[in-house]
Amino acid sequence: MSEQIIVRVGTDGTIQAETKGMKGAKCLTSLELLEQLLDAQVTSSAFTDEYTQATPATTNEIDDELPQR
Amino acid sequence: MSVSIVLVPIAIAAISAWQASRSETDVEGRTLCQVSTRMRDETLLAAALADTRAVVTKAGATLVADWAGVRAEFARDTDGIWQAHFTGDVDEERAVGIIGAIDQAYGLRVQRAVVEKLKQRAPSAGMSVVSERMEVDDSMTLVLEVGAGA
Repeated sequence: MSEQIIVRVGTDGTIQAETKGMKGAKCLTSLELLEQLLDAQVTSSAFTDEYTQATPATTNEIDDELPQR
Repeated sequence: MSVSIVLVPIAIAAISAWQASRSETDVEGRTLCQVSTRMRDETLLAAALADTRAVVTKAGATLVADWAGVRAEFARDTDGIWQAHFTGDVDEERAVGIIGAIDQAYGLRVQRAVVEKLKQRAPSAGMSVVSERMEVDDSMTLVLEVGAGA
């Protein structure tokens, strides 16, 4: 399955993004990259089911929330 | 699905919307209204003002917008967010209404800027835009393929 990011940009300028086909920490690094690309800041975040299907190179020790800057 | 996030472009202050206004009367009896906005970007603000059919001029660090009988002077507050000071044929209700219209135009400008930025910058980050569509609510959905950029 290809790795994708679905980005929805509202008419008020806010952005919602969701990863698909990515597992483990790659989800986070991709979204951090998106944050830089768009000169934007994350205001809220949530893990979905696929995140917990960690890749073989990652561990299952994950926090309940994403790190916020 | 893996992770979902909500982002706010730095062009928009992280507040829900424009703030309540304050109105007073000057020595000549004219109504003065002040309204805080969520807008940060000067270029996008000027474009949004033009979208509301304002005649826009710049005076130093201030943006001046003129409509028929109403003038708004925009200046940045200490956080870099634009505040509007209204004079002329305006009361608090009308000032808030005008800011609402500007805020809507500004949001559309930001939306356009974000979509353009995404299309321009994605390849350099190893991503490519594989589809783009406008939704029924006029929001834009873009699908990025990761690992497919230039």
